[in-house]
Amino acid sequence: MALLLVCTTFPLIWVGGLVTTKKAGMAVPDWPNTYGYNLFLYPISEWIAGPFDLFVEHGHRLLGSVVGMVAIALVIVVALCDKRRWMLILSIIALIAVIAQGILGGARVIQDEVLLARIHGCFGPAFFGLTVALAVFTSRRWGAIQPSQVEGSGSLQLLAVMTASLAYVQLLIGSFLRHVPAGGNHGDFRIAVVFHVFLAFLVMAHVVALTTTAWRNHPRAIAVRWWSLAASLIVIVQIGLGVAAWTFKYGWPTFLPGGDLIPSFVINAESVAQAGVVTAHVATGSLIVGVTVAIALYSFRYYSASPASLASQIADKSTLQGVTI
Amino acid sequence: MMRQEITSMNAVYSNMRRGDWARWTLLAIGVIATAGCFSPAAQFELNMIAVHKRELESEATFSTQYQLQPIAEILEASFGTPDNPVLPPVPGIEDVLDLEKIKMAAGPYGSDENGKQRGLYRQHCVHCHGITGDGAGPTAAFLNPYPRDYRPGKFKFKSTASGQEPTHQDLNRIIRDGAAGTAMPSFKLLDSDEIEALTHYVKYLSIRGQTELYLIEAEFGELLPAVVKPASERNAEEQEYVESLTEEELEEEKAEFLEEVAFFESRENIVEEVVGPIVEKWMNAGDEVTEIAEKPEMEMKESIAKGRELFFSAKTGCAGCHGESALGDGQTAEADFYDDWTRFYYDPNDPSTLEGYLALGALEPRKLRPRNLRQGVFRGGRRPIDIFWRIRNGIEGAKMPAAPPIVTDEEIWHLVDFVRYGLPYDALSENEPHQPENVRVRN
Repeated sequence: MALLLVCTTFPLIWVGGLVTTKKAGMAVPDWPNTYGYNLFLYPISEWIAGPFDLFVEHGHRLLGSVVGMVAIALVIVVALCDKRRWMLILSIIALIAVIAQGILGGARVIQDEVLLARIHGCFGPAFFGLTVALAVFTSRRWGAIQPSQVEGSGSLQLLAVMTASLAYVQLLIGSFLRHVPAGGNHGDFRIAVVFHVFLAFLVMAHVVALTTTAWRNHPRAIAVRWWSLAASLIVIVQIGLGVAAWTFKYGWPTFLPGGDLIPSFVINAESVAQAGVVTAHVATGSLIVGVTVAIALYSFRYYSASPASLASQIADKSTLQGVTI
Repeated sequence: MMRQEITSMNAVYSNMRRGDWARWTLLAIGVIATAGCFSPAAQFELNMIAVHKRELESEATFSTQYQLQPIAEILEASFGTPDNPVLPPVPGIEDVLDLEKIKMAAGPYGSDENGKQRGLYRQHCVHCHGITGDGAGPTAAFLNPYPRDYRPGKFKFKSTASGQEPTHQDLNRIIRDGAAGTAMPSFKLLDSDEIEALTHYVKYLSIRGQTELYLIEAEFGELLPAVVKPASERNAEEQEYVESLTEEELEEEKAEFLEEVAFFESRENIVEEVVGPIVEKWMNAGDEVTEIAEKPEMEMKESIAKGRELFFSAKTGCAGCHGESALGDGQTAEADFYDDWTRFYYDPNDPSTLEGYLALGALEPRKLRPRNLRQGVFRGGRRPIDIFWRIRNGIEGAKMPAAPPIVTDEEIWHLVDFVRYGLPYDALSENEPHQPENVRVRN
């Protein structure tokens, strides 16, 4: 069920990204209704055949409510099948978070406020990270791992937490580039771009360091090893997507060499390629946050911090049997 | 007893924590709601770069009460706000600006159930061109060339001569087709009435900007406000001037000053002296389109050969900037190779004033590069007629001059053929940084 939550939240982030890319946030001026109809009663024909921005915005709302329902189901299943009390609390937090996110999205529409759109956009990936955590906690692997103590595990954990944090901070800075305030000045935007580029390389360096450390020193931490390898590849793709997103929006970046290679390139505003690449960059940012959260959690699972917690976890292991939901 | 106390303390503690949570949540909601409620509405900022320039020229500072405030009020009364545009009561203005279309482009973006868009300018243009159309929107600093500043009413790619306003069609075309190799996108995927709305809005911002410039440079900026300013606001020169006047002269100058302000603010002045003539130029732009003699019948090979000869001749002087190789590496390393929008605030011979302008939001001066013709990229359009207009009229604001009158239309057609077909296509060629010919030869 937690996996289902992840699998419904990720497309939701794509669609949410598309809402901003297509500037469709105000395509439906009311909330929680859609043009006076109850969210679920809005005629499907009008939704499908209507203007694209309405299709995207209403679709985002419907998918959001699906995620909400999955979150409710998760709480019920956890309450019934999982004996870990903190797991129940965490699933309830996830439910509250998805409700809050929905209200935030609604407030963005009612107030027609770009700042709220930005907060809504930044909270989404945080929620995605939470769903990944739930999926990790309820996975078979999590239950099967025997925590141990290894020298150097602390630095792996620190690196993993740093990477996840940086990935999220990177996303926050990205939101400044995406939700450009109409009256903003070019000095602020310049600072945001410089930081975004700088952090991109910092995240890259952390992910590479994490992968190298995991593969060199931690043969037991299989999940950390493979997920960090995946993260490295995703970050490389993400940097490529970042350059592509800028190029499709503003032309080849002036701070990179090679602009003369595509002198005749004409940007096509509102094209499918532009929307696709920009939205893919946004969604991949969330994916990186999700993957690095999983790595951080696994790094703590493989190597417990102290013998005391190790003992308590071993004692608790009996409760973990058969909790994959 | 003891245990009871502890239990009750725990209860109090946990109640308090619950209360804290509630308080924090309320506070967070409050902050978000406040941010939502008090988010400032978009507004047109005054062209402070022009004000600063005028202040440096007149060695006096503008009076807020008698100059800046009235200018802002005149502009708001004549053109409204970014959310609620209006048009000044100039006869015939409806032939130039369509208010319905302008309203479609103005305001915050969104759409109705039928997909009819509103707020098009803020949806598609504002992040580069800015609310006032100053070409210094948030993204501007990273773009090369910088986005166009509409406010002086100068546009590069048009069918009219330098000094003339572009036609509606010229602006419509650049919005529809974009400018290759720049950040200006093509909006051909938008509905034609949306492109129309944006075209009208660009003209609206231009006319508004030209009005503002005129008020700053030619009217309010000509006034010497020292006589009406309190002593604390006068600079040394102003103070000296006021002290040199007798009481009677001071009163006389004050009265004269206030009379002029009253006249500048009058409807008569605004309609007849300021906005009227500006609108008229836009209205007449269609009649000012450069007429072109029909292209002569000639073998392409022959035409290209003639074009090549002209390109390298002193009669046209093309190779002087575009270079012997046409890579854009001619003798153009002069200190003042900047466009007019930059030169408005930047004098390469006296860069000492630049800091002041940059602090007001001006963009870092960036040198122009003559077009590398071997890339086959023409920003203003690659139709023969576009290139003809570029050669005949030059590119306003940039350093591309109009062809001298002795160059005939027929000769320009040969140049068009040479530029389009007579150069080796070399997309990967890079033009060298500008340096004098002899330096390159020596190296």
